[in-house]
Amino acid sequence: MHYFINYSLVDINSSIEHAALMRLKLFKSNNLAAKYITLNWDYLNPLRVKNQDLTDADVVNMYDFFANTAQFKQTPRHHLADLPLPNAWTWDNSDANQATIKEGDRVRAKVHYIPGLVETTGKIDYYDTFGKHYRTEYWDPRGFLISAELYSAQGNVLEQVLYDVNTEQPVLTRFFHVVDNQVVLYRLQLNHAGQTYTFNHENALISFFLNVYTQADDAAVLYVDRPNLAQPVLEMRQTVQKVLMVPTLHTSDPDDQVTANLNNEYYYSIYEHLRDFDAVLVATEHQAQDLRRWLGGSADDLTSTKTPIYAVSRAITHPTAPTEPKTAGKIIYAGLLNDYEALKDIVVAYSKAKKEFPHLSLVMAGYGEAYEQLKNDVAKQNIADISFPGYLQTPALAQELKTAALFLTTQKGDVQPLTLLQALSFSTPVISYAFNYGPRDIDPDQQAIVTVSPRKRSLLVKQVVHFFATSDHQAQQQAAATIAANYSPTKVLAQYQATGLLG
Amino acid sequence: MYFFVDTIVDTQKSGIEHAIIRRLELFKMHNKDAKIITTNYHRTVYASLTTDGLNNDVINLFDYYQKVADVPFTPATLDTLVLPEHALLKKSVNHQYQVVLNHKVIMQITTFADTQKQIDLIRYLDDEGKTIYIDYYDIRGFLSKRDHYDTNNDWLTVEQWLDVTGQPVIENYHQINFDNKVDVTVYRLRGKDNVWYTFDGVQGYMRHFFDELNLAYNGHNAFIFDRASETAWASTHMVTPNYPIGHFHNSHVTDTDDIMHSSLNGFFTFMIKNQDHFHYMISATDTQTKDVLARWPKMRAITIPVSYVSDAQLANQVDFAKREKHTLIVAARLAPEKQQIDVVKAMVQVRKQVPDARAEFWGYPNGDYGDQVKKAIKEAHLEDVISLKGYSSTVNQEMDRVGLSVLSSRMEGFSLSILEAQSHGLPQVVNNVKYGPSDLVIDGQDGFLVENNNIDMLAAKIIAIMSDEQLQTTLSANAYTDARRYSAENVWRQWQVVTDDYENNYLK
Repeated sequence: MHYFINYSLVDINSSIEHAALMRLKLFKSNNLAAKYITLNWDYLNPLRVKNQDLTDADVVNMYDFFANTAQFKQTPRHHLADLPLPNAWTWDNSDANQATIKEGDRVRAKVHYIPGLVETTGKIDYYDTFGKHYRTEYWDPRGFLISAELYSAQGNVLEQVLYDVNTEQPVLTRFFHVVDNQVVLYRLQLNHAGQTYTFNHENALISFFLNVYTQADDAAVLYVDRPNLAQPVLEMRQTVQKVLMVPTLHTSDPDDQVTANLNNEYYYSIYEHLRDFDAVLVATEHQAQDLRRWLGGSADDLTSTKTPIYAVSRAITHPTAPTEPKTAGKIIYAGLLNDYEALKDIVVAYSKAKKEFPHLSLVMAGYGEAYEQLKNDVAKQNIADISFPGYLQTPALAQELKTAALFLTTQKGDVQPLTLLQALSFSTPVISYAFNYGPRDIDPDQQAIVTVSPRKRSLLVKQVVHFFATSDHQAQQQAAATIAANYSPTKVLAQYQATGLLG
Repeated sequence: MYFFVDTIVDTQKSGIEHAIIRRLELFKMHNKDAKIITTNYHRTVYASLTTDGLNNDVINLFDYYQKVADVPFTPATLDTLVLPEHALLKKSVNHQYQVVLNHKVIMQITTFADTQKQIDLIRYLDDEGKTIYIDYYDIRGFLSKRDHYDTNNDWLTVEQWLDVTGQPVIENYHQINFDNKVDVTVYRLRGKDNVWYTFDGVQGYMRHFFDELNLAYNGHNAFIFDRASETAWASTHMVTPNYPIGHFHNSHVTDTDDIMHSSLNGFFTFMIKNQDHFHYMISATDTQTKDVLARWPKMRAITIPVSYVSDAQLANQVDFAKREKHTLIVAARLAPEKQQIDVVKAMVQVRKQVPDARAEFWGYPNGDYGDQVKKAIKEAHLEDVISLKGYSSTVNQEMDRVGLSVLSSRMEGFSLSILEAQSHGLPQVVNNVKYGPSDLVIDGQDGFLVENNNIDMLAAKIIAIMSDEQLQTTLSANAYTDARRYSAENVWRQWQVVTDDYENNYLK
């Protein structure tokens, strides 16, 4: 069994989760048993699973596992009237998001519904005789009490208690105290299979869980999707295979991946513990070579590092023949909206080109710190036809990419731009700054991706204007689909097979 | 069903517990279903209930929700305790053990004395040695209560009582109260159908318990509230139909010489102000009933003695010649209102007339009064004359040995001790205070009534009895006879007024 070790699965996922989910689908469709493992404490986890078009069996959450949620056999309790609350209590549900529960005139609790679900109990805050909050309960969307929090008189959480969903017994307690005004987890106590376990750090619990969960599996392969999960995986027993995924650039300088300082996130996994992994997977051969050289090995020699470094694409594309026409003049950027200066280049290039081609429009899809600022800029400068739809879930994003005439990006670095490749798979040509590891690795001949030297905004404007000077992009569109086919499931599977991890 | 509502029935019993136990015997004798209800938490009380043979007669609030009744346990011991993985157990001092993990003490364990390493409590510690939580074990062997602490402030934050499966069933949360102190601000109880009920205080959950119990026993039960003060609000706010009875276990006024105007004994203020709620208000003596009715003529007051003399006891008369005629007994708690120091003072005079006179004080001390009595004995140089015997559940056997009984109380509600002494044929010298002594002791016939705090008179009557064997023997014989007024049959006849009303009028 292959286990993809992640913190979470949320509604707004980063490329790390997207990559792991694509891998999950690839493995499943090739009859390779695989599971997406999450380790976060979040009672809304089951909803995320549904939203990602996965089955409950595909995703295993550590806390769900200890709470035995998969074995839930009671009658689900979703609504206020089903809760074990006294008959004498009354509730006011005039608010669509919450209900206030009273005994006579005294407020005993407030029930917060699960976002997006009608009057379905999510969180219950309880109030004491003096109106102070003393306890919170979390009700799983599947209809049972999953955990509760106890609060100190000073208002900080003291304990989080996880319940077994059938016996309603506490199975795991997380203890907190305050250090320098921060609420810090300092102890975890687990009751499992008749034994009590005490941990001082969540990583110790994670190691324990992974050992228990993979216990009967002689062929377990664990993929560390986030570098800061390397420690708990390495502290597991020796008999499982451990694979380090490198989801970001490995040095601190995007333009120098051979001699610059190591990205701090990899200090533990690559600098200190490389030999403890069975394999390291990076997304491109280019990065594999750079990393081997960074480690003092030779670029093309798999055996020149303590642990072999393989290139396996994290993007998996499904190129399809265009099913609907492109919207003339539609430009799209989709991705993180964090780097204000870089993203401004897109807006400027667009506004300049629009002066010459008034039919142009721009979609800035995504979320991030620069979202508000960019929106305000656009409003202030009165630039027409720019939309900010926010983070788009997979089908909506696909629709936008399909109908776009051009994908425009100004990012500075990435191990492999997933959305850019997705755009290509919908036959959408690209204009991009050059960056590691991106356009030039994907399309060395610039058939579908026009590459501009980084931070040369005037050149970028020029290329956009040049692109829209002609309306015939058929050759570029065809090239896009052809290039995207290099990342088809078959090709990526072959890359996995070359690593020997598939057994 | 008749429920007798008390707070606790422990090893050391006050007159109220004795009265309830005697009443229970009487009810059983007459085939009436009756149970004692107790409301206080006490995780070692089971041992004394076993000694008293009361296990099946008492329903405790905590036991009820913890579902412990009639379940046999294998006591949790050091040997059966499952330690955290990789942890080591070390003995520190007597009954104290430590559990060490990674060179840190993570648990401190205390075991019960006189057991095979049976666990009393376990304190769980953080890396700085501060208490995270404490597990308390019931003497029967199961984990009964868990106290959770805020380690930053060493504040007790949540008290949690667990049922026998480990499920929390009662919880007290400590938050900031209106005095800006950290104290209990909300109570929760997992009641019928596993519904969590929330209460502002103890009265709320007691009331809830009484109602659930009432329903569990088919409703419409009779409740005799023997602790008028402790269960005050709960007793009058039950929501299920029931038959409440109030009980004066002591004087209802603070000044029994001014029964019409005296301030009320605080224990009974609530009950008196809410007297209409109760079907009957029981006093133990006719004198008290008369006084109560004088002030509140509409009150449904009734006299029922709080004890009785068994037929076996009535048949068992000791030959007076075999007694230690110059030994007197005081059978009462060592408490300020019992005024044992008066007896000490009297004994100084008695010794002058009766050189071999001795005294035995039986009873447990309240507060520091025991020390005061000790000091008084020392000052009077009577250490060899007056013995402090402590509490005994078999003090009645001593009453068959000694020659007379003395009670120098300032006030009484009935005085079980006087009845006990009378039924054992003891001549008595007792203070003529309300309520009890003048109803029980017939002056000059089975003993003497003396003025409160009149040491000379007290001493004179003791001397009179000790120095006149003929008188002492006569008083003794009369005591046996007078005790017959309180035979089971006679006392039950008075109970029947209540039981008839409950069973024939209320229930039908």
